[in-house]
Amino acid sequence: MSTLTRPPKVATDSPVRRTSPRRAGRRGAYKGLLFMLPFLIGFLLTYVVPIGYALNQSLHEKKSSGIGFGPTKVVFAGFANFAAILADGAFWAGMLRTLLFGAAQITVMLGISLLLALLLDGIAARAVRFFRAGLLIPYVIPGVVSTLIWLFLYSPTASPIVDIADRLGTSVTFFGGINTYLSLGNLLTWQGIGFNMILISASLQALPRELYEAARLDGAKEWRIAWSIKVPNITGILVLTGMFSLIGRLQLFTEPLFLRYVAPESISTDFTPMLEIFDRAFKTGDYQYAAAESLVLAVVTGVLAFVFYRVTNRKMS
Amino acid sequence: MSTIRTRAVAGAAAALSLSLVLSACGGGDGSDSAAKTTKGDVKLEFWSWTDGIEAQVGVWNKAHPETQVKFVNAAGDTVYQKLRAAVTSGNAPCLSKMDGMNLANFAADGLLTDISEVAAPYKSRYTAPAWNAVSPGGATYGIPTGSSPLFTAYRADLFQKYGIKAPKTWQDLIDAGKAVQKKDKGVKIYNMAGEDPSTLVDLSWEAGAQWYKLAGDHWEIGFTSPEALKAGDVVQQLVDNDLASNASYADPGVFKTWDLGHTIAMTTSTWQLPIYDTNFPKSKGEWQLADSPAFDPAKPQTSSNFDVTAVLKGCKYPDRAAQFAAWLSSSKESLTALTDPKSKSGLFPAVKDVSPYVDKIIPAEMFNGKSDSAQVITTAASRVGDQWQYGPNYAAMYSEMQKQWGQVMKKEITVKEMLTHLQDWVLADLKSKGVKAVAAG
Amino acid sequence: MSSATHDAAAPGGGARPTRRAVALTTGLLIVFLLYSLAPTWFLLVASTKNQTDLYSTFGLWFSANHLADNFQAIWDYHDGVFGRWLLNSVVYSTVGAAGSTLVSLAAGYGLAKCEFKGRGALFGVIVGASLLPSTLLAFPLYLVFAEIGLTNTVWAVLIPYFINPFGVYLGKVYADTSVPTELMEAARIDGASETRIFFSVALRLMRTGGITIFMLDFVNIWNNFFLPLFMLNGERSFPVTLGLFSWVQQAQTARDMNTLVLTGSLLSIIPLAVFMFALQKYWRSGILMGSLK
Repeated sequence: MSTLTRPPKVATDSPVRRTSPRRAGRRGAYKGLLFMLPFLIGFLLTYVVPIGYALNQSLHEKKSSGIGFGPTKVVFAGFANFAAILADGAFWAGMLRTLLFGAAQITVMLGISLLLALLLDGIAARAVRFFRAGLLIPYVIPGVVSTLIWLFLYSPTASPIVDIADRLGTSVTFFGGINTYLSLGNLLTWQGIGFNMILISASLQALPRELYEAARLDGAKEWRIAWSIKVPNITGILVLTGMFSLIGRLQLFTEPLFLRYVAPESISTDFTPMLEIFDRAFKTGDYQYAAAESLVLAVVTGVLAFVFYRVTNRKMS
Repeated sequence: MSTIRTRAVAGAAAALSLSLVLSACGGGDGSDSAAKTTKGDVKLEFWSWTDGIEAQVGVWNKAHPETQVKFVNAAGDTVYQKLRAAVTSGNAPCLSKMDGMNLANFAADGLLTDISEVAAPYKSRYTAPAWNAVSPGGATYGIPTGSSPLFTAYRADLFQKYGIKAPKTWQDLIDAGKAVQKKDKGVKIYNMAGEDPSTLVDLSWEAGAQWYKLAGDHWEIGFTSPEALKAGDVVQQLVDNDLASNASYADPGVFKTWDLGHTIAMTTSTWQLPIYDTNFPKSKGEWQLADSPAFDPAKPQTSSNFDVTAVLKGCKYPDRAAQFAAWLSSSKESLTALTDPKSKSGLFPAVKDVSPYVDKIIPAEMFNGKSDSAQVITTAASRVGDQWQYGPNYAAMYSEMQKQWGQVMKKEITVKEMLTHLQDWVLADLKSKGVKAVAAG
Repeated sequence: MSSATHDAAAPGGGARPTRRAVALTTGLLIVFLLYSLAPTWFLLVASTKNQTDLYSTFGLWFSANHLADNFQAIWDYHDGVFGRWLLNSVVYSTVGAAGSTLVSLAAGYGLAKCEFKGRGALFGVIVGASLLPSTLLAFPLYLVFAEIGLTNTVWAVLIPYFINPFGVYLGKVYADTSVPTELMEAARIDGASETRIFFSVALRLMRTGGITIFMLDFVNIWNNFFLPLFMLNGERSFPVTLGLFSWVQQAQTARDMNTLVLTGSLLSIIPLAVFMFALQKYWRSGILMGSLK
């Protein structure tokens, strides 16, 4: 599911203030681990072991014999799966597609969220509450449901939008070529702008008023204040939000899976890396290869996160 | 919901890594011999996602205290993967619903029980192609449940308006499509969904092609055989001349394509019939059924998907499992209930004589009454070609074909290019898995 | 920081914006408001229609009202299994979020307040893990749970929900900011045990943070369908998202499910919306803390 319905990721950036408790040290190790124990056991079970298992699987492959019916053997294959993935153009095309598309879509989404947050910053408090509640509606709709709604709205046969266009004597199609990306992007943007708006609003409100009071007294226009004072002061948050959303986009799955229902020729089974992994594991049952693909995706995610972390750390300090 | 196993969590976490390493390499020993007759009372678990089956399980359980069946409604896209994992971890159900393609896939991975011996007594009840679907590579792994033989439905009023007749052959269909195009560019004779290469599968099946053919100890792969290319050519002509719409069958409003007269004929089957009255508000009463177009009018063949009940590996009572599955899909009692549209099962029998079950599935208002719908359906059921076989990597091939099919629909590649690619791909894939296969012909 | 101060600070104080600026601002907001609400409007309208009208009447306006029939159809489907799905969602979300909150606060507190070797590395691992897509892990996790026979039990979904690295990260941030070490020292001098300090002092101080973690988790779990899709089998154990998905799939095959899907979708939104708006105050202040500290 999309990260934007998963708010948490955003904040990971914040420079953690280390307020090291000095004297707790002696008993620290024991106590600290005691408090962490439930988490650590669970972490072992739900992260470490599965990853180890996937690693083990990824080094194997399935072999049959004769006419291919009867028991198969899972044999050690070394890095054969990984070699095949490295050479698999479609897999990397999916990865690149997801990243490029994500970068464009997230930029638009954050742009709109920023605009809305700035607009909300400039109107009366009662109206703020009304608009904020309305704009947040998409966020409280489960991702599955919102995708379903848009599935109907995009459907070449069931869509009221197509219906209106027909009555006006024109035609609209939501898929094929660039339209596919616009439609998918619209769905994700629709889901995400409300939450990101709240986030940006919160950062805006946390800015010290002195920052722009002086400018205001000097008679500067609101949009000027917004553009030259407010926006530059929250760029850090914007960049980080954007990058973490982008990392999340790599796992894009539910939305294209559903949209495939109405646009199968535009959204293929290897449209995104997760779709490809799902297809491998669940449709053909080749989970050694799927495990290897999962690991490659995890590594790419990790590398991206690390690069972002370095870049932003440098920028911030 | 199952039992709560709190202690298992803590204990298992430690012992886990070891057992994982061990089990990850074990493919299983396979050789389940399933000939013995079970005595005494047994319990079987059965996964399905067909409506109306649960009620039949209840009926069975009342009459058969010695074989109690526990029904699990296993809805969802991932059921096959869950079954795989369940078999690997040793807690699979005895029986599960599948389609022919997945049965072959499971059999190829050694996840099913060979029930050839205990199933033999039931073979004569089902049609030959249905039995083929549960017997990939010669051994039987399940019992057929239902079939969906293909036939054609067309808008009789619009056919008359455009001056065309119900096509007897595929060439007729193409010619009729072209005639319609001359009068109205917006009207199509046929539909091919972009996600769904099943049109090509059906055409190849009807043309008598064999993509996979078992020849003794090896497979002959025939994606580029003359019959297969003949089928491919029909698709190519439909694409080249823009004779087909591209409505996806998964599109929620798909029936509008036909209801509004944009597409004036469709390939259809038994499971769709009961929902026609609600979905064709504008055009019901104007439709008529006809036999599916043929390649060779002298030897007309159609095709069908089959629902099957597979017996999974580790099933301890294959004889009872087969007995239940056969009762479910061949006894008059069960079939009468399941083929009633009220059950919402959409099931059509795979037995030899389907005539008692045809009348009820025909919608009341859809057809104009000018042709004998029941006759068309029974004819289709009797004409399903029995040469079609599912190879061991059929599911992977289908996935590969789906990707290419989208490109064919977008006119980026030709059907022939796709078939040539699949021929090479299947041979290479089988070889890499250690399966013996050669190009046909 | 409390949310009240933000609300008060929101409207600009100084120069009065021109009328045109106000009109433009409001106009733009209304446009985006309509954009946000229109699809929901479609859902509302569509759930009042029957299968035939769904495709033959204009999608953004009502035709004959069949809402009651659709509710009835939902209620009739497999002995009211939809109600069961809603209940499951409530249970999974409540228990999962509560467990996760407790586990995360404890672990975050341990990380923040106790010094031990490898703490930095451990923290790094946790932050890294919070970046790993949960969808990616679901598949190997399923295989592991299948090995130990946990699949198809409530624990198969609850245990992964309990373990939330991002929650731990938030927990650490909240512990850092809202639990003064001096207070803990004082409690220690009074002879309170470490566990007691955590439960009676620290937890109370981290309450806002705790509620935030709870809410974020609650929403995530309510919306999640990937994990249940893998782990649960047999429709009576499904949460509502997965139940709807199973309907969508049936809509493709044997029967008309679209009216059920649409009306069910509408029903599934309501509990979450009520939950979110009831706790909106906490929600915003918590986000602010989490994102800025």
